[in-house]
Amino acid sequence: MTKNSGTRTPETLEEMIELKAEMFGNRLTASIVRWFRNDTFFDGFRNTPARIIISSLSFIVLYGGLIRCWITQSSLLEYIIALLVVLVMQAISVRFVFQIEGREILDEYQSQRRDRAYRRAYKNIRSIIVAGVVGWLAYTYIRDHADVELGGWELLTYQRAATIAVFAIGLISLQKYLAYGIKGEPFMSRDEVKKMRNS
Amino acid sequence: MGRKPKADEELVFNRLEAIRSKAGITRQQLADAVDVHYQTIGYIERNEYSPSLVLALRIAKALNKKVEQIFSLEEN
Repeated sequence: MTKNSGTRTPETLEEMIELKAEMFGNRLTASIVRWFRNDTFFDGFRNTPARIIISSLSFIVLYGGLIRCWITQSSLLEYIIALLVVLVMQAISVRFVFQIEGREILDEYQSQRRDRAYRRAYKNIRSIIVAGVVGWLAYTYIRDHADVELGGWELLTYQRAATIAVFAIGLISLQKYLAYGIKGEPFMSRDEVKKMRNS
Repeated sequence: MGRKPKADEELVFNRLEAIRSKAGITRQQLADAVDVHYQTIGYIERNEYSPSLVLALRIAKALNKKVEQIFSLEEN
């Protein structure tokens, strides 16, 4: 397979099929993403009441799922699916803000709001990590010094370790959307308004 | 963003809504002229957002006014 100015030229039948499949996959993904972003059907996700519901739901799923999976040591798959659902809902709700290709659509107010969301997300993640470490240190101190029967590393089973890993991924993925706030994104971007007027 | 400014933040007051209304221009028309979303004009008018110097100059130019006629550090 040779590369020519960043484009591949298929030399065999297998390569041609592979390239066609890849192009089809890219086109399919792009059209699904475009549909999610631009179809007015999803406008209901973008107003302030919807953002309140979606953010509350994300919070409940993220922390509620962590507690439930930690206690029951099961339902990890349901936790992952629920996190993916709220993540998609958040991505539909905040369409362009965190997308690189959407940056030219944002004006300075929206760009500042996005930057503030990133700063808040970073601070929130840092606070949660610090709280977790302090909590663990306090727990081990109490276990070693107080006359209380508490478990050690044996509590961290494979299932629970996986739960923490899923929680960490969910926390990092959702945090920017949660930090973005509840004020709804405009239903129409500047480009959409201009297109509508010119059509 | 879209929130009330904190007490310790320096506020920039403006007479944008009055001047825009007097000029008979809608938020959307002004937004198109200065290349921002119409909601951003609303946030500026309600003092929920202080525009950058570039945007303030663009707004002044679009309304054919001086910047200090629209924006000020003291509430008039």
